[in-house]
Amino acid sequence: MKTPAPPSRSTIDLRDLTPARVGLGRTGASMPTKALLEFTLDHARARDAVHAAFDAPAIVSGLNDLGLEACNVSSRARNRNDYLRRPDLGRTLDSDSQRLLASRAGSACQLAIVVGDGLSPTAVHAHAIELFRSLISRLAIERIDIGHAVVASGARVALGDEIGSILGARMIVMLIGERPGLSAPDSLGAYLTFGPRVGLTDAERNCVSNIRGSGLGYDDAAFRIAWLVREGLARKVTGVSLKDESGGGTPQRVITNSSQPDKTEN
Amino acid sequence: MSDDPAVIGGLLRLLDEIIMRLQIPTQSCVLAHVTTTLGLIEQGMPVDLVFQSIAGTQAANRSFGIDLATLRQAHQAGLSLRRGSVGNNVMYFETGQGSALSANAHHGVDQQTCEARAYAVARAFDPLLVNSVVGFIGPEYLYDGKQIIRAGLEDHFCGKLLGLPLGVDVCYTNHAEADQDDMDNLLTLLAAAGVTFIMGVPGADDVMLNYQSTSFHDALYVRDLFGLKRAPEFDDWLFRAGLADADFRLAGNTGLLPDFAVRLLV
Repeated sequence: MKTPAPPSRSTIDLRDLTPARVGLGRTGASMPTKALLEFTLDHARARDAVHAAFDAPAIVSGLNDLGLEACNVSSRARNRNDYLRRPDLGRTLDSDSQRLLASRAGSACQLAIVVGDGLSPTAVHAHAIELFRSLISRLAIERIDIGHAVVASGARVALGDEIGSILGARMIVMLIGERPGLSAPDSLGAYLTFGPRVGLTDAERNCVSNIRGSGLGYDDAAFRIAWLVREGLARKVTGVSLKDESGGGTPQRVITNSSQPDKTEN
Repeated sequence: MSDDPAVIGGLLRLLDEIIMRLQIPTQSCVLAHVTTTLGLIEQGMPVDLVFQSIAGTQAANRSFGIDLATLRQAHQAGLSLRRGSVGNNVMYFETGQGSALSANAHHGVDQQTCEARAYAVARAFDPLLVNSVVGFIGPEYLYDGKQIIRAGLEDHFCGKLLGLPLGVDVCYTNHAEADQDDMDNLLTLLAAAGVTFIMGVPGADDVMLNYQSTSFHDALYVRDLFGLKRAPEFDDWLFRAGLADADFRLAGNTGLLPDFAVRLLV
């Protein structure tokens, strides 16, 4: 510490380095009122995202506009509190939905896509249709047909396993609202599962995470998803043994759930 | 979020350099799977503390990719670096009620008992820190503020009974029925009960894992309220760095970064 003192910098300059809440200032030892109110507002927004009513009909009609005939199913979770308390109910279809899907299942298909509310219906409302727009053209380039499109209410990630197995899909892509954070209440995740069947674990899926305006953009996300679909179908596997080598950017954004076994619970 | 050894190794070197250059009386720890850290120790990386999440049943530990033999190996590897100056506690463990249930590895045993068994695992390896990440797991295990507070106090009690240096990540997710007021309550109760440590996260918002914990401001509050002192050598460093006054309270609030921090930015 013997070199001359560098020019002064404000603690607020630290905010250029990180999205974290640094340089908030203090009153005595406590947080200033402005920082406290911003935190409280962000928490309210995240809570609203968790508890927003899922507008499944709007998603179905958005998919129809893109030329995809979609149907509507529900898990066994009857309401939001049920859904939050009992993840097992969100991983199983109710009996009407099982019958509906069985009646629609024709011959086996390459790919079925499911849109589920998950822990942030807000994220699905904001991003699902726009992501689809990019994804449809990416999949067309890879010559992969979407056999079925399903919109699922009260859905956990593993609900896609049962849907895919009833429909006889070789691969499932599940688009689902991710657990909201204070700075990202509207982040969408895509989970890819080869050979979907009831009882698979998250180690057997790939995930493209953080799809939102200021996160991973629609085109980038669609590129990665389409790459993983193509490679998953060709190698007949998803999960830990399928690493993202799409070259679409930093690999940290594409993770398998197994890399964080104790810190996810979609 | 990456478990890439090269990334973790780079962070370990960076933190070691900061600690050495500024002569901060502290240790660093970069959270990664214990097998990743073992590999880094073999490469001679500066590992002060070996991290691992642990649970209270063999099957749950297996779902974390560990067993007692792995932990023993990691403990010995950590000691072999001889980096301890005032002690030889080289392990940092994280736990939390519900992890055995979440891994379907609880054998019908309640989550508090499973958690206490995790502390017995920790105790065998002479840890520096055991951290109960109490509200992280989500509402299917601890539904609301009241349950999180109860579980935090139970964990603290069991940690004391087993003679562990147990602290609590006083925290909650946005899909739990809890808010920062509940965390203020739990923080204050734990401080009154003599908790070993709490976490410091900028503005209480963990922007990577999307949950809320306790802030640096909270730590100052609880020290003020209970007259809790820092470790003497750390207090001394704060004074020499210009962050604290001779009476150990925070130095004047100029809104400017201290010189040593500005040098790190350049």
